Amino acid sequence: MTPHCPAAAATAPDQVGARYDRMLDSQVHSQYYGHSDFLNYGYWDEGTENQRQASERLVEKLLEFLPGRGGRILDVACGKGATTRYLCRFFPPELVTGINISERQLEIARKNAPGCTFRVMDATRLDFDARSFDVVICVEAAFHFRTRRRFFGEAFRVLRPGGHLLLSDILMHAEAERRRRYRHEENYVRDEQEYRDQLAAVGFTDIRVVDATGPCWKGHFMNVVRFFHEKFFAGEISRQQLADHLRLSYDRVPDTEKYLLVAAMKPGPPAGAPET
Amino acid sequence: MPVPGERGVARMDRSAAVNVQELEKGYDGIMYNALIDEYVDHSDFFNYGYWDQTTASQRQASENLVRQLLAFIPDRSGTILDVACGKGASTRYLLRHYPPEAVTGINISERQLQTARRNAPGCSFYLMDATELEFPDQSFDNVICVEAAFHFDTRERFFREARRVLKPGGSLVLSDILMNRAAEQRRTFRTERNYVRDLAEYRQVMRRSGFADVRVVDATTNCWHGHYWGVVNFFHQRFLAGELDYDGLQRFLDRTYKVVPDIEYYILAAGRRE
Repeated sequence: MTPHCPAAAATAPDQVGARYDRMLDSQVHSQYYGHSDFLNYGYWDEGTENQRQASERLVEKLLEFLPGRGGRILDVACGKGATTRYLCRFFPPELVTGINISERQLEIARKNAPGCTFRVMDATRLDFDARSFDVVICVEAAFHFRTRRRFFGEAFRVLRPGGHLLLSDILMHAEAERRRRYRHEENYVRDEQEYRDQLAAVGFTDIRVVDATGPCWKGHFMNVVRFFHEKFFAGEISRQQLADHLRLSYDRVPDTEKYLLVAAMKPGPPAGAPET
Repeated sequence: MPVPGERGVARMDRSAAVNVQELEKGYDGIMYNALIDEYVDHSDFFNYGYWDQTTASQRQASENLVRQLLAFIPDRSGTILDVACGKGASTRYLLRHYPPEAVTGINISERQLQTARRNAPGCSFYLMDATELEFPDQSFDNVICVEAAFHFDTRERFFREARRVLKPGGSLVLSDILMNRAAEQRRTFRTERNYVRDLAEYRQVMRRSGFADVRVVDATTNCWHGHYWGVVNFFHQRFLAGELDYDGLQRFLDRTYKVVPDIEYYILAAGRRE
């Protein structure tokens, strides 16, 4: 296991947590996400009508990497538990664990996914025994971790041999990784090959890294544009409010390089029947 | 083919009205811009167009709009006058139904007319004000005016002129934009004298200008709303592709954003000279 190093004050996990608390509390955010408690770009293809569907579709796309759906699953950075709730369609709640850095979000997660286990925990310092899970999933959060590489090491440790890591992740260019408050220069990854190399370096095999920039980031961006431009056209928000609501998304346009869907396996015999 | 002549109409003093020179400059400025040119797919159209489920681009929408207007004309034969023809994209479309010698276009910008002559070769083009047509009475079988009458000072004077130059039985077909009164007052290239409350009042104005069989259709959703989405999507996609920066995006969207609170109706209208 990688030794722990102190995180810089400006990017402490609790600040990331507080920032997401604020976003998740916003009325208009909640409306945008169809009151689903999701907070991610989602996966947009033909037939995707709204953000809620896209967010569910994203979890589905990640689960499609698995040879089968069973065993214990850990939902890393589970937010308000919308992903966790979706996982309960395939995994019995007693086999589902969610972790997050905000206790406030976990309170809601417990309501969204009753029967699952939720714990406040830093993704780079997992408080679980080695070989605890068959699947580790992390939807659109690893770029916040300090570092992503340490999370990979921890995910590898807590997976059983034959278990899978699934994640979606956003790559920005080096200058954006440096400048952005909730991202870290150490997490800069140039391309899919470098991403694969990092997973391979901690021991993962059967690594798949898929460029989903079009269906995830671009699909999401255009839908956010549509959502707020509809409100503006209907006279529900002013031009200034339109600009304010879109600012976060606009700011990401010049910074975003790729949106990736990733799967990797911890080598070993395939996981047997799920242990309970 | 009708040729303009001296009519001896006293020119009105319209110092307080829509400034034709400024209007000309304003349109020239935006009609000769590379990215807008790309938005309209180099078609030289410059209107909102008519959008339905099958419309994939502004060019298609603009062609569709002319088609919708021509559908009001029962018999597409004889001569037609294209009022405020711009760069002649609508005029070129008319050539699908008319021989060039039957088509005349007028506009207030000579620069646009030069482009129009290339777009619709063989047609006649004249620099002319729509409210002071220099054609003899009963010159044309039909008159078309795509999305421009709100600029005329006044729209009603244009209607009377259109009726005058139409042959008996001929139709005026047009698309037009109605804004709220404050916008008609405030906007540089519009005039309060053109304020029309709704479709019923528009019908009245056409009838009192001498038209019969007046039809006025609300096309706000297909034309204005459709165009709004065409613009929003096109320029945001360019922004997403890194071809436009944030300021560029805002500059291109500015014109569209500004009219959102102002527009009341986009209408398609037709009337016949008995």
